[in-house]
Amino acid sequence: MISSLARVIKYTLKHLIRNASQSVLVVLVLAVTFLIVQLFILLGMASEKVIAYFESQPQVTVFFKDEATEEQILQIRDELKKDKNVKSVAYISKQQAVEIYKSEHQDDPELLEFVTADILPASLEISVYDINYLPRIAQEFNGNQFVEQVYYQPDLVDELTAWTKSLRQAGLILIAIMLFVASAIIILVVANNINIFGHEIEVMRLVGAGSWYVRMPFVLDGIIFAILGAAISSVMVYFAIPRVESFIDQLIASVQLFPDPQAIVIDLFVKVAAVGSLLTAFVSYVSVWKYLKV
Amino acid sequence: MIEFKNVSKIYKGGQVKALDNINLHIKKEEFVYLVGESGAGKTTLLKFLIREELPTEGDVIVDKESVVKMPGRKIPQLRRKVGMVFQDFKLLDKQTVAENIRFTLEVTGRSSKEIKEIVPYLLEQVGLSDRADAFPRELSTGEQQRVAIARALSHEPEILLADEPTGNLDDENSHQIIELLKQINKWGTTVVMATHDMNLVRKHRARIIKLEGGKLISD
Ligand SMILES: Nc1ncnc2c1ncn2[C@@H]1O[C@H](COP(=O)(O)OP(=O)(O)O)[C@@H](O)[C@H]1O
Ligand SMILES: [Mg+2]
Repeated sequence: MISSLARVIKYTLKHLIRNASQSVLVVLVLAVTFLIVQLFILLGMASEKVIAYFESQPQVTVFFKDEATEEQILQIRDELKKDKNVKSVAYISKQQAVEIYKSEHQDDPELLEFVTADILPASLEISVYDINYLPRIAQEFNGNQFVEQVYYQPDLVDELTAWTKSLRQAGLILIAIMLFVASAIIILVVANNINIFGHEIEVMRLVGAGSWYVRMPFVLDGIIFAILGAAISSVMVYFAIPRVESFIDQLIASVQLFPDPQAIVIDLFVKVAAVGSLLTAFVSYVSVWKYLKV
Repeated sequence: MIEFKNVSKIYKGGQVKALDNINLHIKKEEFVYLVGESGAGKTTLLKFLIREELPTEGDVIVDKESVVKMPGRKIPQLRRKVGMVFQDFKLLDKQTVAENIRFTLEVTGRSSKEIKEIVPYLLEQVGLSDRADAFPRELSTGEQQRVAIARALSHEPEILLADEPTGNLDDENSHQIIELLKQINKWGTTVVMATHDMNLVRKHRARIIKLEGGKLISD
């Protein structure tokens, strides 16, 4: 048993070495395919963060009546902060509102003349994690005794939701197509590598080799191809991450896309190597089968 | 040891009967020539014995077991029991001469230590000691044939089938090979040798089974 295992490993390595140029070709094709898959996953992750950023932009602004005291407003703010769906709540006092107004209308002294702290109301600016929660927040303040007016832009929210939804769908479709193409490439190149050994496998069978003994080295070859391919692509991904980041930074700053690139690369390597090995092992297993029938 | 019962074969797509109602019995430790022109059906008949092909009709028995009804998992055992020198050699092209022989020995469960002794001995027997590390494509046809013979002998099968084993050898080498086969036969192996070379058959007498157009015409 041990000696036949040692022999299986011997043939596993022999195939790779005797057929070196073909082996290198297979590994490179797998590496490029994996690289594309990994880049797509990274782009997906980045887009998801960008989308989430946009979605967190719209706010509900609640303007308070003059009789509401600062204390009462701050109490409402603190209540809101306890809500898990609420990302942030900013209190704008009457004084701050005037300052904001003034800074926005610096060039227009006529407008500034009449503005005093009495005119502008105090407000809370509320932002949420999930954009769909926004209408519910707005609703909560309808009919509140201290509230003068609740302001948010339902149209903008609807538009943004529709936009991000179709963006996510497009992303999923794109990833599905890409995974299909990647799998097809892997199947073709691995099956082709087995076909090169077709005659050899038939002969092994005719001299009395059991199917396990013939098949195992090819299955192990497939796994080695996938692991080497994933290792090469992961190293390339590691160097690609800063570039993806700076590309997306140009579109939108202030979002930290990949806080821990090393962890992401290791995670991607493990997943791609695992799924890739399963696929190559399976393809090898099935491709050898055809010749084992002899 | 070997029995053919009303065996016929029509290949898929072939119109003629490659073999036509063959009845045959070969005893243990016999030496038999299978003669006939090219296309007579010699290779087809041998292929049944390692179950490379199945008969269209009839049954083939090897060592008391029907090859036709044999389940797939038992085929490797049959092939370890029946060694074959293929007419087209069927060497492993990606393995060296020594490794080709080694593979068969590994498959039949020999230890690495035994293999290290057997391989050089066999290569010497067929005069290829200095070609051990060559690949089949680097050998002449006659040399490839001798590797195929060495491989088929290596694991001392109970039955040895040799399909035109002298087809690519000169007279000198042919006689050596036949002497070798006879030697193996003396040590207890049943040998069936297909050939169309009547000259050779006349010089080394033994039972002769003659095929013509798929029919057994003399025994
Ligand atoms: N795989 C095959 N498919 C179709 N016909 C075949 C096949 N193998 C052999 N034949 C035919 O069967 C007949 C016997 O062939 P074979 O057994 O190879 O004869 P021999 O070995 O005596 O030369 C021939 O007519 C040949 O053309
Ligand atoms: Mg023939």
